[in-house]
Amino acid sequence: QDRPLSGVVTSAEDGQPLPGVSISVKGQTKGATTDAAGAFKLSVPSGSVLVFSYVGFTSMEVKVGNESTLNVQMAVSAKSLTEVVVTALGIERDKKALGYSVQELKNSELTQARPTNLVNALSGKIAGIQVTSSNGQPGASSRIMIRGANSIGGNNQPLFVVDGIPIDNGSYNTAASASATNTNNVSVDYGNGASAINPDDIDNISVLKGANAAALYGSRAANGVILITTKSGRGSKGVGISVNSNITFDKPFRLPEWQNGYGQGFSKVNADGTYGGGVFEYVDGKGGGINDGVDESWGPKMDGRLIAQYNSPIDPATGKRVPTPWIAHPDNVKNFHRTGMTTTNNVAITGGSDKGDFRLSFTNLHQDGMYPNTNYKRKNLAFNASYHLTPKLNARASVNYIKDGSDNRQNLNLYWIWFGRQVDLADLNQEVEPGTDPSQWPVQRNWNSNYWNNPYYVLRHQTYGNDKDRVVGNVQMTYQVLPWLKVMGRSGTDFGLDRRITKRAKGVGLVNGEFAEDNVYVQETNTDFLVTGDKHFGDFQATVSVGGNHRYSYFQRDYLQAPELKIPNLYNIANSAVRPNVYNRSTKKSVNSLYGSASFSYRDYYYLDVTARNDWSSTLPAGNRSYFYPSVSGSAVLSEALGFNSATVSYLKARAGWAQVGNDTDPYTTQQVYQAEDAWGSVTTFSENNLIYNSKLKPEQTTAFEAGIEARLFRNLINLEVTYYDKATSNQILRANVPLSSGYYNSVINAGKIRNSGIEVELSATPIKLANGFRWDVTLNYARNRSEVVDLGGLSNYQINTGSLLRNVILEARPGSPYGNFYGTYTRRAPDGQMIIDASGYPVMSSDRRVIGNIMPKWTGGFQTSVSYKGITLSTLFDARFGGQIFSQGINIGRYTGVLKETLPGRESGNIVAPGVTETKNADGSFTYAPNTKAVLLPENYYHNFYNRNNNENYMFDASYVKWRELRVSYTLPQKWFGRTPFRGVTLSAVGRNLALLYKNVPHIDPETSYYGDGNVQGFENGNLPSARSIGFNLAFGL
Amino acid sequence: CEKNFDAINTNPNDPTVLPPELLMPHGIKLAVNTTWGGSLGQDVGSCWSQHWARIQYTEIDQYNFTTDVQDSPWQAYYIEANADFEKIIDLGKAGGNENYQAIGLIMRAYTFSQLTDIYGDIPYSQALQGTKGTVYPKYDTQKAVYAGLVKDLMTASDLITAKTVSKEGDILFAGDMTKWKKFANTLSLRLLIRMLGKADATIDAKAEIDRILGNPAKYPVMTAVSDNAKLVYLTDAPNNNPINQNRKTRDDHRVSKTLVDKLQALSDPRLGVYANKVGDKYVGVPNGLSNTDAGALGLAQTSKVGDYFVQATAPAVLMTFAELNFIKAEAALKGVTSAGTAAANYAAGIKASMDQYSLTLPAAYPTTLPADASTALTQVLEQKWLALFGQGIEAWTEFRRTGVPALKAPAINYNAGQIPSRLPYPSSEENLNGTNMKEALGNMGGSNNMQTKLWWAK
Repeated sequence: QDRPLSGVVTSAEDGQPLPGVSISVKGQTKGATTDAAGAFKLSVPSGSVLVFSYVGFTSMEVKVGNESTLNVQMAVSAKSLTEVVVTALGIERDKKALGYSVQELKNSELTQARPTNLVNALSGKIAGIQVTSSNGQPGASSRIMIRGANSIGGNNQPLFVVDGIPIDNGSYNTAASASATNTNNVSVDYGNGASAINPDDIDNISVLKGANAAALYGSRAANGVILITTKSGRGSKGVGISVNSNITFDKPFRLPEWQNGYGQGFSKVNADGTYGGGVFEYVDGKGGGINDGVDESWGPKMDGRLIAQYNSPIDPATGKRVPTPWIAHPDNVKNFHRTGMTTTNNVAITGGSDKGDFRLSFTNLHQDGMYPNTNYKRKNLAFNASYHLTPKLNARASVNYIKDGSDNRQNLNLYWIWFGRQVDLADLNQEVEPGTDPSQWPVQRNWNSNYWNNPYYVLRHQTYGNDKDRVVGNVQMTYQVLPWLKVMGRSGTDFGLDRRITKRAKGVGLVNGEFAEDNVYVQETNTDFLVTGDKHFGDFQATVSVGGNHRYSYFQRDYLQAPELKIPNLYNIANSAVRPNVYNRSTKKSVNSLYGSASFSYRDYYYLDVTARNDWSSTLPAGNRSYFYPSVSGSAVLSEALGFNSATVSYLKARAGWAQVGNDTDPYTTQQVYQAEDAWGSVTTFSENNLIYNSKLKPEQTTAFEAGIEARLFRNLINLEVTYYDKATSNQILRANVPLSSGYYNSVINAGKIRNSGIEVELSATPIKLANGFRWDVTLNYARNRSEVVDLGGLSNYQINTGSLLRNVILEARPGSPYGNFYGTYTRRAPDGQMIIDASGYPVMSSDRRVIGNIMPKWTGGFQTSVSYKGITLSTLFDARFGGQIFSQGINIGRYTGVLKETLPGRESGNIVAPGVTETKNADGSFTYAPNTKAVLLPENYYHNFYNRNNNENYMFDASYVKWRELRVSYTLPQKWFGRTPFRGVTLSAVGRNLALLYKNVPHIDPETSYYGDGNVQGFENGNLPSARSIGFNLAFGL
Repeated sequence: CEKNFDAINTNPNDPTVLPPELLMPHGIKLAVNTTWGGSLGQDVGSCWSQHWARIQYTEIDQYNFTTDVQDSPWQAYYIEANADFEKIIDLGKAGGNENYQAIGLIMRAYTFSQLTDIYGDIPYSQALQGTKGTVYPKYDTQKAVYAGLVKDLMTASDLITAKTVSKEGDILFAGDMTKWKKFANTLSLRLLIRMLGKADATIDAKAEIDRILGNPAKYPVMTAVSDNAKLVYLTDAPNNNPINQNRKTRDDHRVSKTLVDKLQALSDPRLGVYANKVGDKYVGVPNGLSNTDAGALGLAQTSKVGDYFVQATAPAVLMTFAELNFIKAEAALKGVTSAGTAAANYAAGIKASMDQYSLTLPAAYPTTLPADASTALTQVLEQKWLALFGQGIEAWTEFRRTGVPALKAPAINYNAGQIPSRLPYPSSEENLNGTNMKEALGNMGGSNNMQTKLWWAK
């Protein structure tokens, strides 16, 4: 008599539920599979034996008695060591057979303490990858780089592959015409392509770090590959439902330390020449009063004295403002930020039989940003299914529809940096002066009308929104021709249309509003086939694959802008008061490839892999289109080969590999063209292009070597993996800056060589593991990378940042130096290191530039630990980066404007004497130094010059940090509590992200930030919204 | 495997060939905008020549500024303007229309003359050859550049034929080749007057002036205000006057006290055009005040630059008939007989400047020159300085060359008490063309600062 039996399968290691465990009844065909929550249901007769099996875990047999609930803990299979990992082209392989380093992340590491951007979930967890999140704006981009920068001019980010099909990780950000807050240019961050992938749909992520691992991906694999395998219903029996619900709350991670002593204005000189303190009086906010057009804080002491302010009442009799108390609002900026909130809800249905399987998943994410009226929204609908058409022929299809976007992606660059510290921001929430006609251009209620808008007005009426529809999908057929021969054909595409809408009402720096629509269409289609043969010959085994790929990429951008509007608040191109600006551009690219790989093994302990690939790229000149590159790698499981399997060393493997990868370039860089320009009235105009094209380009080439050992020590207590690599990219295709006097800005050239070498260590251990289920795990990773620009083909240097630079700080590559040097001005110093002070009492800035910093960290690392006991798991992650610098324009300006606390000394007295020495040249050419005694009368003159904003060295800071990145406490509720209800595997978690900055050397800002988003130009901060500290809760269960 | 690859990699967005007139509006607009607007025209030109003064963020009026002030004009003149003009010359030559070739040569010469007057020695003979194999051009000395430009302008003048050029594309003279010819020869005289009397000049400046002024049929010069070389802007951005665009979001400039005092002393009617009244009077701002002092003086209590200059369609002037008369007056005072008499030219110059603004020359206005040549020259150059209002760079250049009028650097200044002698070379040249740049500094006999004297000022 069959009786219903249900239960949950968890991992003995961390107590996490195991989805996809296959359960069979011994001696019968009957079986089941656990769902996403690890739960299963089936009917079996009493006394039957259930076999639980799961990849990477020791299979176990359990005899069923009379119970209706059976919870099983499965142990990780240490002995078999069959750790299966996903490698290039989606091929699953035994990790011990690999001659290179691959690391995997499981779903649970992505979905619980979840960041909105998937890329951020990788931070600190894998040796040798460096993740930088740009800022705290909802939907902002993040950059990921593996083993340093390979390419001087490229973007250096890895290729993202989902279920075997490369997807687009571009961000296509452009500088908007002018920022909403003032007239400076600002870049709006529309997020990176991979950020839209839903962590709930990911089964695992495999990181291919080196060229060997990725050689079969060709051109774009030079920077590594992030291989994402999505969940499917594979192996499941019957239908299961899983639900995951997450809510997190965001607060700014770090805000600058403001001064709260003195408000807006400047100081004055008394008639007798003495210091007269700060003065301010508001009349029109444009300079009509006393210093009321000033956006700096050198004004009166905030001691409650009566001063006419922008929000002081107007006396109807005189029409003048009645002075009100001048007081500090120390938390004005902090309180302007609201608590951001992100909710993520996912429900997935999986089902399967021996004929096929499916999975349908829907996720809704809604994030309200820390600034009012900013948000990010995302819906992911994923479906995949497979069916065995015949016993030999299998078809699988997968489609993922993503709709994401935002009503506003504004991050108010530098708003609080040019500021009057006395401003009561709460008062500005009433953004429009009473009595203003809302259908017309409103009059803002504002503290300054010279340079700045009301911040609420900006956030509500000057918005950068977008709405993106994207589909990532593929179909795949596999035919088992012979028991040892398989043929696979696959085609997949990723296409998306992003409609970016800018709507800006009239404001300071904006004459009559603006409307712009920027449509970005990106498509990439890949079609490939793979024939794989697999044969045993005695102790030898060989797997040989031959495949081909056709890739086609299309990009189109259509931009329409009404730079001034005729009728207020009507956002339509037809409402343009002047001739609209239009721009459209499309590019195409095609790459064909043929490749082969062969893997040989002897007695499952000696392995040899060989790969070869030839690409033909449309982007290169006819004679150089075809390029070939090989790889070879090998490994030996010494513990087995030499038979020294002992308690101390239970497993020892050595591996080494050598690989080459070629790379092509962007479309249309081989033929000189003219460039369209703004029309002169109705006259169409063009100009000579600023770029020198190159009709003789050759492909880039990366050559890499890596070697490593993997060991398990002390009865598998410690698991150690060490890798050394050395790689060089030569023949780089660069858009090198040339002297402007040549008539051109840059030139496409083939030159240069950059070399990276480094070491990566992964160490994991289980110090305590008790019979009662208590377990403590520790994982440590460490990576250091050294880069050197070896040669630039005769160029003296290559400028990485171009266009309008922050304070003219140049980020460049220079032969003989590490990649990513900052070049800038610096303070002149006496031989003993003291600053040289001039006759005015100011430090002397150099007239030349020199290296003042470098963006690359010296080392990065992560420390993860977890404790689990009876369904409770506590885990935490610390993430560290040491070395490398950041240039902060926020601090630069904040010191200039007197809003930061270090500008307080001397405000009462004036007459500040700079520490340092004066320099006098003697007749014999030598110098005499004497202590500086010159006092500077006015504090703003002193600080403007002491913290000279054009002296770049003053604003270079060490970007090192140790962050408490994640904390997770989860509890899997005992199944017996749910009795006969349908709930299975109910798990509650409390999660936190970016909890604390434990170590830093930079004041005021989060050292992990990027003003320029996820591009190659890193290491710049510009007063942007800081990242968030997030705390939240997660609920998961199955039905 | 490469089927259709050539088609796929053919750029569908941008042209590979085009007629030269399509390059003209962009090149001309960028050259003129750079001279007239931006920090170069407004701060370096108009403030340093003390026509204007800063009322906010006064550091640049004390000669303290970020390097983009020296970087942007170099970039705009070389790659936005001159790269187009170089191409127009090539296309004119290849297409058999010498007039395009001449327009390209004249505009290129105008742009090179701005560059050399601002920076000193510049890449000239090897410049603009990026697509022809020279990306690291050597610098030519200023005297060689001047000699070269005079030759280029003569070549252009000689090339001009009766062939038609596009009226639409020629946003300066609407296809009037006679006016181009007059502009070429008048511009040549501007260069020659600065070479006159320089012993080390490589061409005989006096002979060249005689060549032009002695043969008006072959080398005509401007003969009326209607010949002025000026760009008349359009109403809407981005084709409005750059000062008009600046005033939409900024309010940093006022007229200088130096200028107001001088015009008031002369009871000069141009004051009403150059400046706006505050209440019933004109209040100029001393140059280079501290921000605090400027703030105390007040935005609302000081005279703005005259409405004439901040209109959307206000013209930007490259060269005027008034300036030509003052050049001829100076030449006459220096013994060039083909220039006529100094007195007549001086009076004509003042009248031309008044005419330019539709003003009537007051009967009492002093238009005579004293007998002493040196005093007379000072008076000519002072009137020239008044007439050059708006053309800040030219006014600054003439001050640096002649020391007239006797402008004083503000008390707070970051240039050793001197009005800057030049702009430093841009950081991009230092970075990318360092060897050649250092060689040029060696030739100029100074470092890359604002105190090294240019050739025509020595």
